[in-house]
Amino acid sequence: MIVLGIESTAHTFGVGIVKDGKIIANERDTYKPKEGIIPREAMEHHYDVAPSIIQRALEKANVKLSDIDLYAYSQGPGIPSCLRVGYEISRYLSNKSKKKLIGVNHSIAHLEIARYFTGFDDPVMLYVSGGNTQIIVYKEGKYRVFGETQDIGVGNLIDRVGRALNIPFPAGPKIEELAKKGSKYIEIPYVIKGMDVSFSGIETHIKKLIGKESAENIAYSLQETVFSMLIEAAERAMAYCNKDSLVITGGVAANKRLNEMGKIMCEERNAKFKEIPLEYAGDNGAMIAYTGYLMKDYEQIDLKPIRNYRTDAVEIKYRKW
Amino acid sequence: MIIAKGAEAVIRLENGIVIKERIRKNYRIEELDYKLRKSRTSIEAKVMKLCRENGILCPNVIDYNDFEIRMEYIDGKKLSDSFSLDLMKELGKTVAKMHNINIIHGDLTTSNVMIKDNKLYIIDFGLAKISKKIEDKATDIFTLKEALKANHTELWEKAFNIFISEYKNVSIEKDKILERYYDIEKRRRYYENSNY
Ligand SMILES: Nc1ncnc2c1ncn2[C@@H]1O[C@H](COP(=O)(O)OP(=O)(O)OP(=O)(O)O)[C@@H](O)[C@H]1O
Ligand SMILES: Nc1ncnc2c1ncn2[C@@H]1O[C@H](COP(=O)(O)OP(=O)(O)OP(=O)(O)O)[C@@H](O)[C@H]1O
Ligand SMILES: [Mg+2]
Repeated sequence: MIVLGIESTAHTFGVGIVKDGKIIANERDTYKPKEGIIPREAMEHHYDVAPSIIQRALEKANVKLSDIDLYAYSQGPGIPSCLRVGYEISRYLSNKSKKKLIGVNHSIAHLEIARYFTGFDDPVMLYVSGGNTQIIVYKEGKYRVFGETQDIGVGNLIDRVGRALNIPFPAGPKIEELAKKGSKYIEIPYVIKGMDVSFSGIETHIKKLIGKESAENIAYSLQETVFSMLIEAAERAMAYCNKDSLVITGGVAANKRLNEMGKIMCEERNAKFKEIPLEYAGDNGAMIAYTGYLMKDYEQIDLKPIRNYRTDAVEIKYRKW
Repeated sequence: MIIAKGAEAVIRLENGIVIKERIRKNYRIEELDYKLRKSRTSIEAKVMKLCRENGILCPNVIDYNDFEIRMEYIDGKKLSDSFSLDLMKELGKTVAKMHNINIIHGDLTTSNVMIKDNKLYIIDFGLAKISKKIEDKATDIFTLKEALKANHTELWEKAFNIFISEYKNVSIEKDKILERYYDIEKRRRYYENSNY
C-alpha cells in the first residue's frame, strides 16, 4: 500500500510517501516571512510550491500518481488558510483517483514519527514546536496531554526573542549557535506549575536584557532555562506515569542542547532516550503519510480542517493496547 | 532504606524518619541546579511548618538543611493509588484552607496527597509559594484538574465537581478564584475541536 501525505498547517508545505509503512520520500519547502507569519502569504506560498513538491516526492519515491492507494492530509491544528491548501489539494487528488482520504491530527503525526524512528513503544513524548509545547503520554486509547504551556509555544518564544535580537525567522538554529558561545548565566524566571510551563514572563524579562547583556549570553541563558523547565516537566511525567523512555519531537527537537539534556536526564533515571533525525523533527509530509497509513481503516465522516484540533480528541484505534 | 524516587528527590526511611533529599540533576547547569534545589528545599520546609501551625495536615518537619528535609513518616497510601470520590470533598476543604492563608501548593496531583486513617496529608511542597494572588490560587486548581483528567480518565469530572463544591464552602474568595480559573481555561491556545 502506498500513501501520500500532505502537510500545510503553518510555514511548511511538505509531501511524504510511505510504502507498506516505510518512508520512501519526504520533500518540503518552507515559507520564511521577515516578521511573523502572514496567513495569506503562507497560503500563496503553499499553492505556489505544491505542484513541484508533489512531483519531487513522486520522483524520489519512484512512483506515479496513479500508484497512490491512499491520501492523507494534516487536518489541524493550524492556521485556517494554510490548512485549506492541504485539504483542497488532497481532496482533489483523492476524488480524481477515487482513493480514500484520511485526515490526520498534526500533533499525533509528530508523535508517531518519533515512535517510528526510536522504536519506543510507550514513551513520554515532549512535543516542542513553534506553536505547541506539550508533554504527552498514551493512556486508554488516547494520547493524553499531561503538561503543556500555559501561554506561548517554546519555538514561538525563541522566535520572538530572536526578532528582538534582529535574527530572521526561524530563529532557533541561530539562537543555538549563539548559545554555544555564551558562558555567563543570567537569571531568568523559571516557571513550572506541576507539569505545565509558562513562557510569557520570560519573554518580557529577556527583552529588558537586550542591549545590557551580549546576545550570546542571552541565548545561552534562555536555552538553559527553558530547556531545563521542559526536561524537568518531562521527568515529572516519567515519574508520575511510570514510563521508562522519552522522545522529543517537533521543530525545537532539532536543538542539540535540548537533546543532550533529555539524554542525561534519562541516563540518570535508567530510562531510554534516542534522538530523531533532524529532517523529521520539524513539520514534514512523511509524518502525515505515515500516520495516514496507521489510520488506513478509519471511517471519517467530516474531513474538513479543524483549526484547534486537540491531541486528545483523537481515538487511537490502531494500537494493540 | 529508599522508599521512593520522585522526579527530583530520593526519599529514604531511616529510624522511622523520612529524609527527602533533592539530588543533583546533571542536565541542568550547576548554578541553576544548585539554586533550584536549595530554594525548593527551604520553601518546602517553611510551608510545611506553616501548614502544621494552621491545622492543615502534612508530615511534621523535624529539621532541614540545604538539600534535605527530615520529616515524619506517613504510614499510608497515595491518593492516586487508592482513589475514591469520597476523599475529594476532604481535598476541596484542605486546599481551600491552604488558599485562605495564602499557601499555593504549585503541584497538586493525586500522587502528592497521602491517606492515613482516612485523613489526607498533603506532601511535596517543592513548588509551593506564599502568595495572595488570585491567579496563583486559580492556577493551583487548574493544575489539579489537569492531573485528575490525565490520570483518572473515568472519574475525573465527578471528582473535580465534588472538589469544587467543597472548595466553595470553605474558600473566603471563592467567586474571584473560580472566575479566574475559567479565564485560565479560556486562555489556552486551542479549545476542544472547534471547527471553523
Ligand atoms: N535548532 C533549533 N533550536 C531551537 N529551536 C528550533 C531549532 N530549529 C528550529 N527551531 C524552531 O522550531 C519551530 C518550527 O517548528 P515546526 O517546524 O515544528 O513548525 P511549527 O509551525 O511551529 O509546527 P506546529 O504546527 O507543530 O506547532 C520554530 O519556532 C523554530 O525557531
Ligand atoms: N513523609 C512521607 N511519608 C511517607 N511517604 C512519603 C513521605 N514523603 C514522601 N513520601 C513518598 O515519596 C514519594 C515522593 O515524594 P515527593 O513527592 O515529595 O518527591 P518528589 O521527588 O518531589 O516527587 P515528584 O516530583 O515525582 O512528585 C511520595 O509519592 C510518597 O510515596
Ligand atoms: Mg511528588
